[in-house]
Amino acid sequence: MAISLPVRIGAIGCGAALEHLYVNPLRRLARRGWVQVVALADPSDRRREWARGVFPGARVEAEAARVLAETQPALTIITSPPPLHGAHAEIAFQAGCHVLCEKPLADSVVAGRRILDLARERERLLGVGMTRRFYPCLAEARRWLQAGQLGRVLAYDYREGGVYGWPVTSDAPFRRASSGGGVLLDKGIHVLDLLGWLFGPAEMIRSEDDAWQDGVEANSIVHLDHRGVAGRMQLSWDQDLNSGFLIRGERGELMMPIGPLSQLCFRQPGQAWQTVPIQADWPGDLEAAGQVRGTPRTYYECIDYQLIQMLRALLLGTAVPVSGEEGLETLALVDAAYSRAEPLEQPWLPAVEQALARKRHWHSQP
Amino acid sequence: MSRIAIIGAGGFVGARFLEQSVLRGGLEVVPIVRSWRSQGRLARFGFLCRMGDAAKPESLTAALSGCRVAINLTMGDNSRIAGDVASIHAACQQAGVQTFIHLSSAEVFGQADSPGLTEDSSPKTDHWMEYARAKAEAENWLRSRADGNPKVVVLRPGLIWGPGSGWLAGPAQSLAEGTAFVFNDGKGICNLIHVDNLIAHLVMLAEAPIVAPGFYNVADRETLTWLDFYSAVAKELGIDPATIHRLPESAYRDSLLGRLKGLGQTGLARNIKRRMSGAQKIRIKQWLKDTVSPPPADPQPHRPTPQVTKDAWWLQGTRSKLPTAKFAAIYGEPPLQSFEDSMRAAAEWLRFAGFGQQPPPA
Repeated sequence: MAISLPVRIGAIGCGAALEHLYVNPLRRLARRGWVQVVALADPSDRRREWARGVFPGARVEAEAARVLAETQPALTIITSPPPLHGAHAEIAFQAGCHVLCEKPLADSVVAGRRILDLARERERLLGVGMTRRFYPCLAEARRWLQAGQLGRVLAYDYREGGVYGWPVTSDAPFRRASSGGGVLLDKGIHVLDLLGWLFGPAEMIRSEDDAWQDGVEANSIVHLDHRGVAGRMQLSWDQDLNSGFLIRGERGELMMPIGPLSQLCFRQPGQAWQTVPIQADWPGDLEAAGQVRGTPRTYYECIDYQLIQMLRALLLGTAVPVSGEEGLETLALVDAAYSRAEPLEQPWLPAVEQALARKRHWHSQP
Repeated sequence: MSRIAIIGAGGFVGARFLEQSVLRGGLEVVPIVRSWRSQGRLARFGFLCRMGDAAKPESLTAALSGCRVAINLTMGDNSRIAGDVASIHAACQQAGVQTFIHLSSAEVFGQADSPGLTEDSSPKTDHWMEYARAKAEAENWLRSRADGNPKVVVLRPGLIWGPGSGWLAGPAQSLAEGTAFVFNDGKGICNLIHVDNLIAHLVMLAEAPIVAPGFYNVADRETLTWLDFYSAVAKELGIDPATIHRLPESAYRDSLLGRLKGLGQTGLARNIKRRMSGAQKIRIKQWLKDTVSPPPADPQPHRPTPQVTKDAWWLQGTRSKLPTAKFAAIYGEPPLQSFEDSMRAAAEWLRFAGFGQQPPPA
């Protein structure tokens, strides 16, 4: 069945992800006549009440299968906690919807593969929400790498740390049973996706984290190998790090601070850093020619662009921004990191505390 | 053993207190947080936190049940500091808490330039910094209730530093960028207390069979200047201290950005901001940034410049170290670690956090 404008949209999960990521972009696209939010589902009375206030024209129900069957959205956005993505994607596909699944695709490779299989069986599009691909500095860095401006890429170091500030509506993100993991699954999934996008498929070499037996990791360090490009990724939920992304090539280095979306610096060996202009842009309309192009200036505008590319995929047959296959590859890296996680070295602690912290690591025998 | 409630457990001090108490044992600690997100800093431990918000005293009373001691480590909006203290005190009374330990700030004495300053002196109520005025107001409210029920002990730490602290990461960042600066040749007193030294005071109070209500300044043993501190960090990072910019007093001028930030703190601006979504605030901030400093059309030299703020200029003007003898006189000498040992451990953290000069993986 051909999809027409406005594209009918559903969402499963009315928590912080829908509220803080998607509400304003969906409203902006609705004002342009491109989307209409018709269905919302959440088991919480409080969140459903909130959703009714935000999208008064939409049907809001506790049961996702029912509301999707009755309203027939063309695209369903899954914004529920990661362990529920599999079940919710199945409901959406059964209702005939295409799916944009907020990252991570699932909380395990098995669950992620099942989502992918369902999309193929039902011949539906599956996109994964990875907004960092729309960061202008990262897209520009990719242009540089593809154009060979650094020569052969040798190595990179990615570091991102700050105190957790996402306005969650429960403690689900901090319990392994309900979240599947901590900073690696939260921020790491974004970063691993963009590292694969920049440098190609990766192999997990080493993984360290600081989760205790009942917790999820707040700090994670992984070492990767992208067929000859050696990489290190360090993430923190509980402290400021000297955050930045450095890529070293034979003919120079690229550096991006974490935070500003549009700052990219380059230096040749032995030279000083220069801030370079950003030329990366994306289609900003739903015409086949895609002549209206733009560059997001804020994180929230990245979500606008992500949704526009998803709508273009539905209406024009262009590629989804991040495919289910790519989402699954990233998930496989996260799985590998978790299964091989060693206790993170914390040499600033007194020796006795270091030893006890190692004993409390979630992979240690109690 | 008796239960110790940590109100504001999701902050820097709270998280370290919990980590230490579990690893070293001996204290039964009840973490209390205001919002779900506050648990992010505690995620790795897997603690079950109690939820309690000073704005909803009944929630706090329930959270405090069964606790003999409550330590207030909350870091709320300045406009809420005094009100929250009254609420927490009332909740302690309701819950039968015997000792309420409140963390004030050495900043209530400004640049410590009043002659004859003692630990029992009244704080300045006309400080230019809203944070310090709010802390002073809270102290004054507690002063008349100190010997009541619960007993009130107020500690006044200076700048709390240690692995993961902004007072370590900030200087390290500026040194690494080449933007570190000191005023007046760095002769001002850097009033530091290492987080573990602060916790040592808190543990002694929590374990004391009898508490002496009142007000206590707490600090590291050593007296350091700002240049001493920056030079120590620089040494650990392998950076030449000569790269630290020496700024004259006249270098501080309230910048346009500083004045705009000041305007943003007015009651009207706060009301407007409260009605705006996070996305709207970010969009306006980005628009201002793009207007002041548009994205470059051609390659430009990347030259970070020192960001001189009024806070930094003020703090570096501290004249003397506050007296701290009262605590030891009453409770005994706390087991404080030396600055040298603390900095050696901090250096390990600096390398972990990427501030040391490390090449990317080869």
